[in-house]
Amino acid sequence: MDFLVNPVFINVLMGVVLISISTAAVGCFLYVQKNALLGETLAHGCLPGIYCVFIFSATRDLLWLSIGATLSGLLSSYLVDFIAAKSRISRDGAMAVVLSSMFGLGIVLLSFVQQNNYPNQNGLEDLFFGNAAAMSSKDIRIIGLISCGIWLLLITNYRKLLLILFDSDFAKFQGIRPRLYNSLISTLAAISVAIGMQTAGAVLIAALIITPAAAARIWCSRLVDMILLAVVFAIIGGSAGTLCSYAAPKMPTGPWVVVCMALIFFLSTLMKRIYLASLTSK
Amino acid sequence: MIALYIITVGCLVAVNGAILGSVLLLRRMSMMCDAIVHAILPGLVVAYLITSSRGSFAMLFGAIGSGIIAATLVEFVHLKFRITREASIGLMFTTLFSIGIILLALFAGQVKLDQDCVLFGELAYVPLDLWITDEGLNLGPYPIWTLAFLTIGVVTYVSVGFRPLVLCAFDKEFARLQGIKVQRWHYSLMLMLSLAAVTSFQAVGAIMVMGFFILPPATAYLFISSVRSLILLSSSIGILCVVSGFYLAQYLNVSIAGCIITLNGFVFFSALASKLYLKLNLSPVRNT
Amino acid sequence: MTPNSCLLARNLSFSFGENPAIHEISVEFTRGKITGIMGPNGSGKSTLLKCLSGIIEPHSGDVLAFGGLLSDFQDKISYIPQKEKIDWDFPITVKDLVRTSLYKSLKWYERFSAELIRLSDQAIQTMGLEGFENKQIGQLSGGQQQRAFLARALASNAEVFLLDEPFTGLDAKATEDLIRILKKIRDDGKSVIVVHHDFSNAALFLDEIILLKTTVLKFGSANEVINSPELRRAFGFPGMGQMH
Repeated sequence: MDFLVNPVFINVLMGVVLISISTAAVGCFLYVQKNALLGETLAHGCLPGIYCVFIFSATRDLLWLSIGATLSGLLSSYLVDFIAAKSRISRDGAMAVVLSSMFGLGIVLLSFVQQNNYPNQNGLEDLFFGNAAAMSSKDIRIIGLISCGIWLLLITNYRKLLLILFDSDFAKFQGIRPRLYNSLISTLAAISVAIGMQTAGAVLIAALIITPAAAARIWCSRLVDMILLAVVFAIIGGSAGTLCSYAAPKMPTGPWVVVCMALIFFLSTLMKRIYLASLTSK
Repeated sequence: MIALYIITVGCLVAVNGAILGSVLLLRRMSMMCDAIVHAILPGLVVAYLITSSRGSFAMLFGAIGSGIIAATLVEFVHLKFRITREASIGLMFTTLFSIGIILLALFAGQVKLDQDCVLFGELAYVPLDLWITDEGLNLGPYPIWTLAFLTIGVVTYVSVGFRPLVLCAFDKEFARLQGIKVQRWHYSLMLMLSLAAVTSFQAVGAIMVMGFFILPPATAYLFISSVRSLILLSSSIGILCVVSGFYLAQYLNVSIAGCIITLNGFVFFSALASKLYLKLNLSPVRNT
Repeated sequence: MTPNSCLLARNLSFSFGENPAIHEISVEFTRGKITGIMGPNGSGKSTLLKCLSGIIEPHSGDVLAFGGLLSDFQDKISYIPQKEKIDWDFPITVKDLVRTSLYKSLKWYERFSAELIRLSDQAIQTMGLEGFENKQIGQLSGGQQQRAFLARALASNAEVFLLDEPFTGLDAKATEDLIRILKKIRDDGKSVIVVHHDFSNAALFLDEIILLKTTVLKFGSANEVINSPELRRAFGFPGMGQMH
């Protein structure tokens, strides 16, 4: 059990769990909004922002890169809404358009950085697969703080968010502005993707948003239960994934976390089947 | 000659992408394209581990296999567990992609598939991959040949399946009543998509290839009124962007594929902006 | 505005792009009555209902409620959306759905008081949904789903109930139940406005009918409108009353 006292392991574990619980909570809201793939769009949409911050300030500080990522993530989600509202392209198409153009722009910026020999550029391409081991304890503190902030906003606005997601016309009657709270959800999604990028990686952060929510949805008939169960799944999946990647040397953490969460999803569907079968046989 | 090779490969990718992408866009399955290009990775790695050769038929089969598995699982999870379709897509492709990455890391010594190459590709390396016969005859780069075969396949597929594909996209129930095997066409489209993704990824990268599928048809879709013109216009936009993107990338000294995609994105957004501007002039009242 | 009216529309117009959905509509809705908004497809029935509810702003004209501005009496008006507009898979139970109408009176940290819980339980009881409180809304039958939304409106103490095609997809039994419930709501002194398309049972429960085709063709008691020549004109051929 020596890994329990290994500071690197503890660091990674804390980081992964903190990120997973905020993405899982935001993911539940995106899931019921039928907007689960926004996480994928945001993850790719974040890239240009990160590289822009790097190009202009040459910093690798998690906080600054996250701010850049959040801003370009927000731009992406705004563009998706804009295209879907103003043209005849469906929301699905709009997401794909924004995702691929932002990704292309990100690659151009990355190759620009690589061609021009920026100092301190090693590991920038980690953003695609994530590098959890590179987290410092300062990064963990930032991630923890931002996660707390996300949770605070979700808890204080829970009822309003529930209302606008379920029945936005009714919400309007109650004096709640649907646009404001829809953009709150997008903003929180962008922030949680931005802080998770460096750990889970752009390609896989989408899974941290979707999988716990989907696994929890099978069981719950209330949104609040769904969120709590998703968080439990996220913590289990995150810890199991970190353990797996720690057990085998040179194993990336992000993919293992994703695979563990997917295992939880499939186990959960299996259990549901058995549960339903036992109900009918009675 | 090098420029010619690169542009030819880019154009072939763009034409394939425009044709298949138009069908995907009409079926509102653009994000499925994102899913498939990610999901072929484990198939590639497994095929490579078995045959230990790149560019073989095994890789094609590996990619098709995992593409079809992904498409089947998406439908299965969506229908059996009442998980929304987007969530089911997101869940499956991230899982398959992660399995691919884990396999790559597990067999890092044996697999010479570079992660970066899989993801981003590099058109600049295309001319290095020449096909020289035993007699010493230079037939040009491999990718041109594989992509040419792919183009023939895609054009045949879409010409044969034009009516059922369009009908399924437009009105699934009606198509079913007409005796069209909706499911079969869905999976055959996924198969073509996996095939196109695997053939193109060595040239432009698995994720980059998505831009070639999505952006030109989306731009064309803003203007056209028939499926035929959608395919034609998006192919032309795709080719134009490849040529100008190539020279722009040379000038800026940045990634060629990235530049082509960024240019495509730029074209889309300027098209949308100009269209909205013109529309505003025509009918000032617009309600939602 | 007479003291007897609940809602008053004055010169309401709304258009989608170039096409007017409703044009210059002026109607006075009587308190304590069930009023039907009827007309052919695309005649602007739903648009009128949405303008009355305040969900959409009319492009010209205005709506008065109880002698004041609509926005001041918004909490007295409840709108029950069309069935297709609702995500029946949403993870929400009947109890929570009814309680959403009370959210406004609470801060985020406050729990439901005994009084509010009594209010919501009473609404559930009135609609005959006891025993279904903890069911997810997708597990209810069509009639129960309508009643769950009506219970929410009841719990919010609404005076005016606006319903958009509430009978869609209901079988004969559920239709009968819903008609009984609407009459009960009316008999409690509240007003009901229904978008409806079935003339065969219109006279059974509607007190007044507005015949709509972008403009008001005829407004009067149910029998009066059903037997009027305007009805035939609205549908373009005689005998339309026997359709459906």
